[in-house]
Amino acid sequence: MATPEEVAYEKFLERVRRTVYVDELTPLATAPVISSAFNQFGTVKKVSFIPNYLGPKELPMGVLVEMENEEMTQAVISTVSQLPFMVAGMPRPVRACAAEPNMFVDKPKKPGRTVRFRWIKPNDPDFDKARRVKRLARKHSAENSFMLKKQLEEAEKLSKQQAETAVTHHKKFEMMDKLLYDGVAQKLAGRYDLKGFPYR
Amino acid sequence: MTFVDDDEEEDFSVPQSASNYYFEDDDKEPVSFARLPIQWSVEEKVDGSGLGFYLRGRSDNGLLPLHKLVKAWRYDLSNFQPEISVLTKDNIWIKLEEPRKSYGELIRTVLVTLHSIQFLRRNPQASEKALWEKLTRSLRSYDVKPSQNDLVDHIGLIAEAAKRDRNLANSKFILAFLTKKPTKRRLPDEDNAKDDFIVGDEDTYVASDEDELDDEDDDFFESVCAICDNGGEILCCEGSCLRSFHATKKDGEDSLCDSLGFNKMQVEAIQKYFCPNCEHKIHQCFICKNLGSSDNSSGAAEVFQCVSATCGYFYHPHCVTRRLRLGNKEESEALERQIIAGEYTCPLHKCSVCENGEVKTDSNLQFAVCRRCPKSYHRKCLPREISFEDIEDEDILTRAWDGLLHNRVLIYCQEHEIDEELLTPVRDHVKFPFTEEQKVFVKEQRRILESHVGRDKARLKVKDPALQDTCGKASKNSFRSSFPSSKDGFSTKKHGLVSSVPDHSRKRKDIDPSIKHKMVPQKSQKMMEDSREAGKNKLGVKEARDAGKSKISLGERLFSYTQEPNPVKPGRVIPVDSKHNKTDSIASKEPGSEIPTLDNDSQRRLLAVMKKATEEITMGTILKKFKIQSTMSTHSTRNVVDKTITMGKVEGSVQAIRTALKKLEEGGNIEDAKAVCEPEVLSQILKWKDKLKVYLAPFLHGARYTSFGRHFTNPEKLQQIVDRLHWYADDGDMIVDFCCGSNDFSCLMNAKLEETGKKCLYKNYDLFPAKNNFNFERKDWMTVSKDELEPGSKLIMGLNPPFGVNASLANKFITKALEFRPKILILIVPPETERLDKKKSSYVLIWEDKTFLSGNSFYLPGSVNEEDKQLEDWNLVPPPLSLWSRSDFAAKHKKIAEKHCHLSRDVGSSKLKIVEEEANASLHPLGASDGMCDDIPMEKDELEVAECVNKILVSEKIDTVETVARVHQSDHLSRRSQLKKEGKTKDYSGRKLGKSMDSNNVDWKSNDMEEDQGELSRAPESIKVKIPEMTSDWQSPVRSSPDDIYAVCTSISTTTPQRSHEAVEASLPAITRTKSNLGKNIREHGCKVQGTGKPEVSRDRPSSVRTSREDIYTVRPSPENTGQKPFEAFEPSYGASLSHFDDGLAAKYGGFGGGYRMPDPPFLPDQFPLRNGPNEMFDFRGYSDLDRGIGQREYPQQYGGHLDPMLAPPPPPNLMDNAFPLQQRYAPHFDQMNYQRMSSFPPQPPLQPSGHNLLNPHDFPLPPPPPSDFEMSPRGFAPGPNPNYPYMSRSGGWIND
Repeated sequence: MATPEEVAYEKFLERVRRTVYVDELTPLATAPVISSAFNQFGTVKKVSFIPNYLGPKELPMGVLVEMENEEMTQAVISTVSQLPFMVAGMPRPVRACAAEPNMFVDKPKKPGRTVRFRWIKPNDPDFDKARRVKRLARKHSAENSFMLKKQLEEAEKLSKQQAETAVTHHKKFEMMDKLLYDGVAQKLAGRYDLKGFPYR
Repeated sequence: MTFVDDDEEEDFSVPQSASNYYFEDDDKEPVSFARLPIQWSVEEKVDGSGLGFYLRGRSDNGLLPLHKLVKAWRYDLSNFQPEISVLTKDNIWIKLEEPRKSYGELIRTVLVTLHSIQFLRRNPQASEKALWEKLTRSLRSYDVKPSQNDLVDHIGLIAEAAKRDRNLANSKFILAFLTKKPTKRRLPDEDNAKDDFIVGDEDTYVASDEDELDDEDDDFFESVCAICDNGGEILCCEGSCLRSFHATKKDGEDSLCDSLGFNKMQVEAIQKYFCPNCEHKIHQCFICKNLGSSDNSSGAAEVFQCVSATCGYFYHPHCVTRRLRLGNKEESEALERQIIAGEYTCPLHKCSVCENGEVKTDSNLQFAVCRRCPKSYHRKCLPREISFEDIEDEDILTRAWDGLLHNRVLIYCQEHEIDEELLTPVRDHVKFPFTEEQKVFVKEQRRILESHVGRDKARLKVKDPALQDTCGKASKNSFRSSFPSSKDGFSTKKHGLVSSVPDHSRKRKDIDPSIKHKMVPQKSQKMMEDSREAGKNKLGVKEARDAGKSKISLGERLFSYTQEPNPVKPGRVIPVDSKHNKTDSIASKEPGSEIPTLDNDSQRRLLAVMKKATEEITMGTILKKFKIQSTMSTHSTRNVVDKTITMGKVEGSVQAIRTALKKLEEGGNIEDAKAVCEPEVLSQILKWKDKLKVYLAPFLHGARYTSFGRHFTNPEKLQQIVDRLHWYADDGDMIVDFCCGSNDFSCLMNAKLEETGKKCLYKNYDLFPAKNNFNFERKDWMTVSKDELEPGSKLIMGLNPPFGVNASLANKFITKALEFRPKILILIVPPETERLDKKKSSYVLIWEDKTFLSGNSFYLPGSVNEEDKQLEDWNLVPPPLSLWSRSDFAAKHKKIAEKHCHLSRDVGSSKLKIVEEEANASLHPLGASDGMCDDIPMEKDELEVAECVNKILVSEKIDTVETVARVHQSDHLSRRSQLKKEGKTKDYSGRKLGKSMDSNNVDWKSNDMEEDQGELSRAPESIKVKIPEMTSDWQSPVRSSPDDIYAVCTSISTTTPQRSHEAVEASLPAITRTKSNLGKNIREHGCKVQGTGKPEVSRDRPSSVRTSREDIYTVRPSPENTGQKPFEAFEPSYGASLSHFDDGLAAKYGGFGGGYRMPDPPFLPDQFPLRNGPNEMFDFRGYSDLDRGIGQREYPQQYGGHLDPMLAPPPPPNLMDNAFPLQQRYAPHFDQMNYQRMSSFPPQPPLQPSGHNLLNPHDFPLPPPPPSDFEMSPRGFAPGPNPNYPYMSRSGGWIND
């Protein structure tokens, strides 16, 4: 017979199955944005953001989107991963995958699993192991932040570049639009007797 | 297989080459070289003893006829294009260049195969679709599109190649292809059925290719390298010099061009190339060739550019005068002044013989322009010495080339001695500023020249035709008629070459995102070039191999790379790799040492990992990951945009156009003007503009771009459609929604039909999973086959397909639908869609309602606006809703239509009114009113609103802006319903007066309430003509901020409470009187619309105040609207949905004890932006401009001007355009194109958070405002109207061009 603990966990797992994990979201996304974005594939029941504890806050966000049923979850995942999916008009494809239990902050304890803590003395044979593990973790986090830094730098470079390109193009566009707006082009076309020049 | 991976080898082992070649067997029958044995590698010698074919053609740039017996062939895929060589009997490899035209078809399949192999080898992940796309592009010279059939012939070759090449073997396509062992397919129809994606895309490709061709024809900017004067793949300088260069040596190798000396990677990394001259604004004088500053911003410029649109040359003024040898000093001084003023067209634009201008359309009057000095001739004036060919007897070398320049002849005039090796004058004419670079350049030049010279000497036996060498590739075609008609060869070939530019640039652009990561900013490119290249190559090869292994992560990682500034992905993926690395390193390290920070070593390692990851992401993997659906075909123009429309060209052209017009207006003759600006420039400008518009669309109309570009029809609208359509359905019909979106239509239809007792089948298709999967099938409509649906006579089909550019997609959907021959097609398609009655199929239009879907009939699924409301959508021109019937059903359906009054639009809409009534006014106002309310143009469409707002800005009408704002507000807000009711009431009174009287009353009440509010505040001013004061009051708050507006409100109310009451009461009787008068009513309603729309207008119009007020008052029909009553009456209908903003206002008014409220639009300016987000910000701009601009003096006329559109059918949107300053129109700024849309408006605290606490309960027992409203207001509260507010309308009024 399932203990209440197991039941709760089962329930949780079921929730996990109904949940899509979406990341690469702009940090500006809000719950309503997300839910309306995914509402077109089904009914969104809950949107919970996974806070980014690690880096600067301009890092993309992850979010857990709980749908009404598993089919909807599948629909979301398949659509979003096959096609560039934009949220709120910005061409920023997001990614979606099935959620995993570990992603949930509020996951219940796995039945039968116990975690114990103990202090160990420096002369304990496990002490060195533990230290190594600790060091490794630190190392990883150092690496991680280094990479993050680099990536943000590159991303910034890229976005600057893109912005610049877009602005230049827009400048060109404006220039031409202004020309047409002023009617200069039209007048000249008239003088040249050009046929079919759009008089606006 | 010989993959020559380093380019160096090529350099010295230039193989003999054959152009215009063909192979024939002993019987002189042409045969494909593929029948020769293939030599896979150097080691595997081919037994050439067997059969041999004769290679015929021309060798070495067309100098020698070839007739060689060949025994084997091989291919080399390492270059841009696959290269094929054949082995002659005497073991010399001859490279094959261009086949003879007639032979091309014979070897087409081989070429297709080789191209495929090459492509697949490089992109093992590539999908079939990507392959064919690519091939279609690279082999477009052939009439027949490459297809799988072409590969079938060479399956053996492919299998063998795959066996020998791991990359190729990894290719999914190849695997599938080889295992499947396909046979030839019948081409068109079967293919269509199977992968319509491809067909669709190919269509667009073809279309865009044509487009490009168009452009090339029209691109009259020089498309030859400034250094060597040859075409090919060139890189355009963005600057004003309008020059292009061969970027890499390879590109320019045909003409021995020194090129800019970049390598391919560098070129790809270049976003915008500015040549050193333009970069430093130091240009060369085209006469003396000395450098001088061209930067006139400080007035210190030494050289000045010719003003002609297409001319990029600079001149010292004194050089020009000297050259022209002007007689007297004044004249030359005048000229110099002209030059400095930048209004001068250089001598290049006058024939040096006859001094007349150029006429590009007349070949005799086309110019031959010297590339070394400003000298030009008409074609007819060209001296004999400048000849298109060598004339040996007279020792004349070719100095003129046709087809290199657009409608011009490229010449070197006699002043320049032709270098015998280069066959052009010595190329010392391009000087870049900053001597160091120059030195390098020159030195390199010299070195290259020397090496070339040596080589050329060795290679060229025959001297004179060697001329053509200069023209490189171009000449190869010109073989047959090598002498007299080198012209032909030239022009055709050149065009091919030039056309490759956009192609190339497209590619370049495509790769950009990932490249950028790889590229380190490069200044000293030349130095690094070699080593980098080598390194890259190796890396590249490795990458390619790795790519296969790391399949999974690729696609995922690409997101982060391509996408904007948040590449966290690598952070996620890479740690995995790095962990491995790390663990190693850690293991090797002594465990005791602490490593809190990263040493250089691991940093380097990490960077390497990152780099590797970056390089794994190519356009190919991205494309593979996201298959492009038929509904989302890419438009290639946006890539072309980048590289070909340079700033310099645009600036030059714009300047030239202006100058040309100025000249004309100053009385200059047309020829002068044309020298400045050719007529083509004008059309070019338009084309550019269109292209940029497409390119910039996401920025210009930001929020309209949503996931999958889907636009859904509002369920309310659908319900109305269903209510009309269900009459036509019979028992057992099948209702097909080919693009069902959220699948509401079928559900509604089903409900309705069940209600009426009809049983129907339903089928719904869409590419995306629908929210409601009632009879839904996720399927591309284009792939639905006939047997899935009922026979045509039972089919009712249609609804809202994606439109596409120029309705292309809509057309496609309809065409597909017609295949099923449904009895009814119900369509929401843009007006430009091809009409069904124009098509072959016999369909009859039963009815069409052009206005049915105006207003907010659509919404963008998955997108929210600032207040987290579903984003709605307007269409500038509402797509008509139409019902088409198969001709054999037409009569029947006509009858139904008549019976249910669908034919006349009025009845239709009045019926809609009823529907709406039933729906209890939850609909959009426009839906209700658009049947007749043509007179509220701004409601039609967001764009139009923008227009209107602009207009309004012109006429300085605060009030109307508000009206618009009101129209914009989200649906369940009271304003909206009020408006709607107006529309409704109008309808009713017009047509269904008797019946609707009762229901009207309620509506009227609310209207009147509004009216009252407006009037109350307005009345005093108008009556008392307090305008001066008023307006001053009025304007200042508008300028500043909502707070001030409050102040005004309060001040208004303080001045007026009592009086206005009287006014209201006084006017009421009049209304009651007029109410019964139907005819009048209609008019009054019109007036009323206007009245409500712009209540303030009356205030601003001292003279007309009286009348307009009266109008407004007479409109008030409700008898119980006397005294205080209206307010009570108001509450039920209006109060419920009031936003808190009003409440706040009301509260204030309540506070004054006046007992009336002020829900008047003018006092809610903030609501507009508030509800619509930054996109609508132009309001604020409007206000500020308004204040600064014209004073209230001007109101009367403008009011009149503006009034009309309200009453009459909408005027052409541009009617008033000219009336307002340019910068307003162009004000929309670009700043919002990034994420700003979400964040640019810092939440401000609500101005009156205690708004409804202040409510005077006994006066206004208002229910609390809907929480959502309340919630959103504080959040989205826009900052005060800042005159410099940069976030302007995204649409800014030009969308509708």
